[in-house]
Amino acid sequence: MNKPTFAPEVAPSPNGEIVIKADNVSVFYGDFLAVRDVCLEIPKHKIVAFIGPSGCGKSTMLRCFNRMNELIPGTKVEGKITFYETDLYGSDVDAISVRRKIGMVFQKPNPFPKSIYNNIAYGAWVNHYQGDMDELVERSLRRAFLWDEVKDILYQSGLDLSGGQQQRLCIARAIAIEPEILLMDEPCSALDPISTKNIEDLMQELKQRYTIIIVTHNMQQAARISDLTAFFNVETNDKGDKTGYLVEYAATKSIFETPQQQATLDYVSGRFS
Amino acid sequence: MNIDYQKKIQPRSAKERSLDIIFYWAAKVFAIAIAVVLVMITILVALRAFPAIREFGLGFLTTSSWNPVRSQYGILPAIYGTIASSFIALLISVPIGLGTAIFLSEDYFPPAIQRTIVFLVELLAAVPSVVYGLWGIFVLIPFLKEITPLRGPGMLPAALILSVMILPTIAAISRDAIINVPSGLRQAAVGLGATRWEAILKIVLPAASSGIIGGIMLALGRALGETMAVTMLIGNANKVDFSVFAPSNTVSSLLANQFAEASGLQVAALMYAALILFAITLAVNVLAQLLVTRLQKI
Repeated sequence: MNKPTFAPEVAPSPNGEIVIKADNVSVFYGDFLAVRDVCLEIPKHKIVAFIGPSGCGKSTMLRCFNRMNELIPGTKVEGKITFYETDLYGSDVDAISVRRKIGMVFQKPNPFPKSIYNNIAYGAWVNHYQGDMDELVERSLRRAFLWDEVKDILYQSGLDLSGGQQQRLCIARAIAIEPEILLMDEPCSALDPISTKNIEDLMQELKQRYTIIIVTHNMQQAARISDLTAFFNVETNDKGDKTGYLVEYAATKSIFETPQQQATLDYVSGRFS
Repeated sequence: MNIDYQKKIQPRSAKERSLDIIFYWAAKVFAIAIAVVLVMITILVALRAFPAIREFGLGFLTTSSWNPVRSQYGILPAIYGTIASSFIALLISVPIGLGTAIFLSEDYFPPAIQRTIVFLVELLAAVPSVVYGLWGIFVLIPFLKEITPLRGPGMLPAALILSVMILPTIAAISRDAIINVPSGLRQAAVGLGATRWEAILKIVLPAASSGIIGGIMLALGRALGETMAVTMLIGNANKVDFSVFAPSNTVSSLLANQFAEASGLQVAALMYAALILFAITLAVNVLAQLLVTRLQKI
């Protein structure tokens, strides 16, 4: 097997503040090594895209950042992930407070079966929000570019909205709790092209305020929206287990135009075997 | 020949077509038969009850004497006992059943232990009601006599046994409803920084509420109609007494106790009582359906 040499951890924006740093992170599901030895740094207020073939561990890696992997029994994270100075997996850090700082948008829009208003208010409730709820709901919906479409139907079920609107509601719900980082796990894969465009435009606005890490299967999307791209690949060991690893992490332009690794070049040019 | 065969759409064989027709009519007849049986039972019970309805009218529901010698019949105590025993049973088993359902839908236990407990809870429903009755007479009542003012059979042991009998219905159906809540909803809640309880209380339970309420209503239906264990434990005293330690009566235990020696107007009175019980359970079920459809819309 052609094992690429690893690009060292990269911080392509020299003056950018680093929000998240992964240091030699490996994730196990039981005995199964899902992704190994990932080192990368996420600069503040950028959009970072994780791309790669199925099973390369990009979603697994994403879910490490807000400890969502812990919902799957038997998951183990080795190495160190720091959020600013805090070790996310430190013994004094609990997963719930991590998730309040690092929000998540899922692949399939999953609004609660509640009114649009209460979809936003729920996150505020679990975070013991004390301020004006009406104001928070409006602000969050405005930031998600959804306000004009739903301001007259705030008390209708979130499930009555179209798929694209539901996903924007989920984004509004996530940003209502003022996270530092938004993790997006293939947020457009269940949406039509117009809704996808809306979400992509929205992401450009959101990055003024939040750092975004997005997992996407769609290379054009990564090229369009992200500042930095991390390419993950998958290798199969003798027993047939597939383990993902980070191949290359650099500015999006250089990943797509002048990749340093042969595997990256093969993947982004569609010559992937 | 071969070409002909390919160009021509073959008619279906007579055998196939007649089988189709037979199946169509069989399905139709069976479906209608169910409705007919229900309606026929209602009509026949109502017809047999008619002498009592004519004799007592609605006063049947509001008077308390049950005196075959003087041909005076009223089922107020039985109606009170039916509703009170079921209500007390629900009061006990809804919190416990719902708690069990939540507990058994989470990953607090290793899967093997969890499966065993789920199986045991469902097994509660397999215990014949006469066994519950016997256990109530020889274990529960003596025990309650020690620690409460209870002096013998009465409302309390009957309601307690009912609560045990309906517990598996509530627990099992609620657990199914909770498990069937899409995992995306729970993940979304957890992703917003909700604790386990905040996710369960505000997201999972409301999303499962129609199933949970359906389960509670089914349990209520069973409690209202349950006969054997209740008849053995409730004391069959035909008077309204609001003490849970006093003997009482339910419509179903009234019917079970009286039908053997009934004749004449007494049969009509029993039929009338049966009709009332049927009306109550029907109302509960209709209400359940309405609640469930309304909740699903939200």
